[in-house]
Amino acid sequence: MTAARTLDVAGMALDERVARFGRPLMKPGPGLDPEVLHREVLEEPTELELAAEGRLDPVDLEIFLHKLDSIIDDGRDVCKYLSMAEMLQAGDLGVGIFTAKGDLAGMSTGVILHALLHYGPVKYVLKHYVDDPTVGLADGDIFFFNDPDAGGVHTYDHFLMMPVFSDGELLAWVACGGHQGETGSRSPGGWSPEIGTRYEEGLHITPLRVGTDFRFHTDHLEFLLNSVRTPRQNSLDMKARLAVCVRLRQQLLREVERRGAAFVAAGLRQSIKASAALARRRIAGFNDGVYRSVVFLDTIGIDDGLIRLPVELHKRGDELVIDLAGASPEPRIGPFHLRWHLARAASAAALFPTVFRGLRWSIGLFDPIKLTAPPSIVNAPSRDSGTGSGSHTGRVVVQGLLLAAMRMLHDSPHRAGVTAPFAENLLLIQFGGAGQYGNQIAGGPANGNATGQGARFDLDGEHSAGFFWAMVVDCPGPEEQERKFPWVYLFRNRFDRDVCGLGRYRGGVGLTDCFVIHGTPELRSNSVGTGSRFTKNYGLFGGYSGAAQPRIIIRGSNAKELMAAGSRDLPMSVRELADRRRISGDYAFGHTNSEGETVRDGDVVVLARGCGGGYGDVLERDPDAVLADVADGITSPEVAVRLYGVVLAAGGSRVDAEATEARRTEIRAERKRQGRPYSEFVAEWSQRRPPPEALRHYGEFPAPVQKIDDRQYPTEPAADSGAWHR
Amino acid sequence: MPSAEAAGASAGPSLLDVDIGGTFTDAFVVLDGRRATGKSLTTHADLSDGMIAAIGEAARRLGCDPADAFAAADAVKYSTTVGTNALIERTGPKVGLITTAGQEDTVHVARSRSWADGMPLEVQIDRTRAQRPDDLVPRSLRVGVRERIDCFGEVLMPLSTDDVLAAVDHLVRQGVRAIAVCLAWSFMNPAHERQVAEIVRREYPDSVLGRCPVLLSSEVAPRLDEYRRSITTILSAFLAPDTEQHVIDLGDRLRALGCRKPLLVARNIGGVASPSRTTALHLLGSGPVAGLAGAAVAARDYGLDRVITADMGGTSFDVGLVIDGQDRNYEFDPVIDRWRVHLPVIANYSIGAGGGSIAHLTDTGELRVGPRSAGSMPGPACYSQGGAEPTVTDADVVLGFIDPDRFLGGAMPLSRRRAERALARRIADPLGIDVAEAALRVRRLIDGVMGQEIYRQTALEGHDPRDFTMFAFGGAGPVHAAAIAGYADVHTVATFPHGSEFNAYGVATMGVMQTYERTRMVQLFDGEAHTDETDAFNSVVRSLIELAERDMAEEGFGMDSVTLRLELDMNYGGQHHTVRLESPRLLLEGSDDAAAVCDAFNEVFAAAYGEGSIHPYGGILVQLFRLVAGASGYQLSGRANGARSAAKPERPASGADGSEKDHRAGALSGRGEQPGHTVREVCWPGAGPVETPVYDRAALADGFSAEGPALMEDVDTTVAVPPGWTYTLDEHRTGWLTTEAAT
Repeated sequence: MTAARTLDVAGMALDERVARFGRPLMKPGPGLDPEVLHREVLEEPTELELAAEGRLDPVDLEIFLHKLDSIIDDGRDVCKYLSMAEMLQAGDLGVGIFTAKGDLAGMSTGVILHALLHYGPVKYVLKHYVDDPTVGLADGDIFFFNDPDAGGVHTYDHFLMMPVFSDGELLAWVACGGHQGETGSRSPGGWSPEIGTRYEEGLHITPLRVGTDFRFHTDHLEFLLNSVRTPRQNSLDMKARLAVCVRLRQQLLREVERRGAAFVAAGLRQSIKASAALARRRIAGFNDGVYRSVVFLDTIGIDDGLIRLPVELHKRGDELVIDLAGASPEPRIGPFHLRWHLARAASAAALFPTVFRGLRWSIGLFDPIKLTAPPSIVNAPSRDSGTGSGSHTGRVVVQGLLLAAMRMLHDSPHRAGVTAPFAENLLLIQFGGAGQYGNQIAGGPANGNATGQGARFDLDGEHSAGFFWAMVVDCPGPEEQERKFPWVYLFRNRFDRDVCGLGRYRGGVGLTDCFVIHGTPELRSNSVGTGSRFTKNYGLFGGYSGAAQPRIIIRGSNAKELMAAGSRDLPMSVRELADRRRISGDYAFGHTNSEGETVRDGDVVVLARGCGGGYGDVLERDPDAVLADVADGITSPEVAVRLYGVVLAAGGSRVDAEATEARRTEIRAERKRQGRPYSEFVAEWSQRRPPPEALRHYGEFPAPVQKIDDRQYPTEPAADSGAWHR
Repeated sequence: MPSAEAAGASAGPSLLDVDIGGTFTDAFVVLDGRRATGKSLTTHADLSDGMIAAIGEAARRLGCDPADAFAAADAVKYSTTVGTNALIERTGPKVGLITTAGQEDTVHVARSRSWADGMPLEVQIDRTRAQRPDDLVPRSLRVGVRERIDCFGEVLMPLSTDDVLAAVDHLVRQGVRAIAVCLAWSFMNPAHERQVAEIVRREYPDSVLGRCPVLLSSEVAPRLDEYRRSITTILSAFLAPDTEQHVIDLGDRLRALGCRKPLLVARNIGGVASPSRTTALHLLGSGPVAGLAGAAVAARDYGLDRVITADMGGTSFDVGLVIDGQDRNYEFDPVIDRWRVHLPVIANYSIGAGGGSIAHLTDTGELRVGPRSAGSMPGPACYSQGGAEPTVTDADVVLGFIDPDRFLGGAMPLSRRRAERALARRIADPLGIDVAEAALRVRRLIDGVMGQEIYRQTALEGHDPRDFTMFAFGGAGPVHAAAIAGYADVHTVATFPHGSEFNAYGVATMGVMQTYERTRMVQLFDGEAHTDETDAFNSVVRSLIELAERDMAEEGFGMDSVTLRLELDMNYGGQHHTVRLESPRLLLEGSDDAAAVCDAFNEVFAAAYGEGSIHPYGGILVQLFRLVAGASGYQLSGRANGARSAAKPERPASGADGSEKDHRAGALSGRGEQPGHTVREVCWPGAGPVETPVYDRAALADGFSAEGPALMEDVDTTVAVPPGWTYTLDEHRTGWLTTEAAT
């Protein structure tokens, strides 16, 4: 027997790290097989695919892809239209079409992660169930899944997938689903930041055949609906997903009728190969090098605390290696543990819209990408760690990777993709209780879809423009939400001042909600997010970061009395609310994460969604642009002078050019006075250390040390049959 | 069909109908049952010049003095796109917005993704380069007033009169010329908005302020969603002055010409109405909607219950649907310019694809066609006007579909050499293929993309495209129609003579119509039983009928000549999206009637989204009531009685059975000998270069039929008949392209 050997990850060569940690490190379990989650992006071709390979010329392929994408987008729209959950209606969902062997050939707009993960359950079914006589696979089968470890996202994201057969031969797979918001976890709405293990997160369904012959099994459906607080909502949304899968299948089969099964099968495969080839060609055009960034989370579970995540992006020839070595250890509390497959899917949110801007999205874009993550919070090995909100750690991967990738992209022909990150100081909240119509609610508003955009290399970020995980998603308006949820807004669509990232180009301002609970005696709530203390809305190339923001609740408030009296004391901004405190009641300022709190009729809740980071030096911002920001109420005259060095005249209606030049000269001189040799800076900076309570989950400071047992993480993982439990 | 020929006499109104397009103004004139068309260049400085010229030409073609035509007309109707320029060039008046305090940035946030609205798909997914349009109302002119109403319409906070006075004072000082008012939940309870209007009227009479209209969102667009409601109100204010002035000038001009009868405008929500009952927003895009109305009439004439219109011009490809003879398919979430609006706009989808669409290679070497267009200047390379980029028209010339010497009847010779050179430099050489192959790829790609758009509007809307007939319009339409149809899974195509004047014909077919909407949530089924909310239902419908009675009386129609149709936007409990239903009952007399409405809704829902998607367990709700009141009069109902055909025309059906082939053969043999034709080499996708017969379409006899490959040339277009397709000309000069199976 070989003796155990402890290895320090920091000392390993990159390729060794890829070999040992370039895969999910969790152990297999019932319905869970890490091996299927890190297979090649494109499996060996089927006979059907081979039969027509080479018959599709570029125009055939282009037209076929056009049709494929139309079918997928239609599926996404139908899912939005038919669903009841607020987030699904807002488009926080994914639709995908896969090859017969489970490789993603086309994906919808919406949340980038979803379809990119669903190869997992498809490949699990193919590997373990097809030949199992107790399960099998047939035309009309319907599979449900939500377990993040199996290829879901959150536990509260629910999905269906369905095989597509043509003349008895497996042709393709379709899948659809998204943020359901209620999954029978210990608190309403799904996210439970206070949990200790995954067993408190509600349903964990690995691919489960819930229907045959295109119909749900009543017993399975009732089991699922009986496990959640909102059976009516969940049942409607199950039907919506089924309708989408059936529709996708019908459209694919119509194309088979027109063009033949081999044509369609080859087209699906070809689409992945084309994306892979284009991705490699794009990467080859960038400068070889190593691009680095370090980012942090400021909450873990419901605790304050720093989590570190360094990102190294290695560009070698036509390949990228994302190295996440040096991250904080697996904390084993809270639901924020990430697995390798979700970390890779998260990288798409950083890379697809920027580095791969303009290329068609499919799993093929991952072909030239390797991701390695030693055991830590970003590739948690423990089976019982909570992963229901692993994507919250995935967000840090997105931010860090984007910052690193922008350094690569800037000096390239694709500079138009250079941007500071979208705001990610998300504060997402879920409510459970009685609605104003006497109905049962469990879910939250989709206002995270209106965060501020990061500044671009040549443009300001747009205000309240979207959600970093998703493309083309809606943020419902105040009326739509006041119809769904029992509250009224005191203010919402009014931009805050001095919160966006400043720079030569500034970030966009995100929404801030302030609402009064109205029409219900009380609601229970959970919330998650980051960036209450330590902002994650980073600036780029000298741009300032977007502000951190707290969660505020005023309990026992007199807000409704003030409204009835038409009082002028009601605040119209967070600053006014917090500084003047004209609403009476108990003010609670906290970080983003909470669980099981109660808010009552008349309580006031404030949630901010975060603002984009800035780009470049503030002193290079066009003074007229600063003037416009002041006029629009997003920059105060004080900040204009103090940070931008822009002096306004004539009551703030024009720029005083001379005074501005003088002020900017003064600021530059001050900068020079503050300048020191680098070694001097490092010497002083290295003496600093956050307070111990902030480092409880951090690992060794400043850089967590990762030591592993050589035998536990071999370079050649043992093949796993996945049948250990049978 | 809209034949320009004088077409037999019959009783009926004398009508002067006009479509004012971007380039041409077309007239369709009916005098004493005789019809003629006229055409003029659009006169942008004063649109009435072109309009009067086009009417004059048509009148003269009927042997009538234009002055007599104006005097004899029972109505003058027109569609136009005037007002669009005010939007694009931002030449409208300074508009101020009064809204609920704390929500002043709603029109900017615009549901967060407004940067993508109204933009082509490739821009929509390019989030990194997202850019919103400039605000129509800048932040400094958006003023909040303290007030709050909740989702039940209950007042939680009274309206602050002081805030209103301060807001108006601020806006007036800023020089606004119109005020839009949009307060939260005003569609449920408009009291606060009305109070604002009253305060402005009281404190700022016209004598003080000059004319400064105050538009209330609860009147302009009484529906949920403050963003769309605000924008619809703002756009109405923004576009009003240009439009109103234009209509006033036109009315004066017509009266000076001796016209004493009503002037009616076509609207994008369907039908025509007097200008006083029309907002400026209704005029945008009314031309294509008129064309769709004409297509609906033609569909009824031919007994077609599924028609898709495909209009391919130089820069855009427009698609509309006619289902069961009805053109009233609403755009799901209409966008005007770059803003989503609350308007029941008749669906007419447009993508950037046309003869002028530019073919190019991406930086990774993939061929793309459009959406950028060479327009009319410089135009395609073959126009020899300086255009160096290859276009679809250039590909058509290179492949032989367009004869360079007979373009526009020979009025505009084209350069095949320049077309070849552009394709060679930009496409063929970089890809290492020959020019013909490059041209073929360009043509196949644009046909595929356009076919896909039709597929999207049919198959993905729950229809089977194989049930549809495509009406192909536009200069570039018939050249590509059959190929597009192939990609769209459509097997029958109709091409019309003078298709470019179809919109004007469509205006002629439009009757007076008014549409009224009210947002009210009424539950008809609670998941277990039909509810007793019939009183609430009926009360809303009756209030809408009262409005219809008032307006129709003012238009000169008694209710006995008015048809009422109730449309309901409905959903299952908890859904936000609604599905439109033409209600089987106008008023509900009991639970049986409620059940009938619910049954009809389930049926419509299942047809759109599949049987498995219906969910009555969640409850069935009406979310919005829409009453459409139509009056017959001032309109054509189809072909003139006693015109070319006495019998109801029948289209030649596609199919393989012998009787149909016999029918066509019989038609041919009955018309005498095969007409003369020339031959030229045309390179057909899938078949390569083929010596192809080319017919002069004008010289073909009724009933003529030919198998593809063939070309039918006319002055304004060429009909391409690919291999596997058959062309048949009927007695109304409609050319039918049919195939047994699309490829």
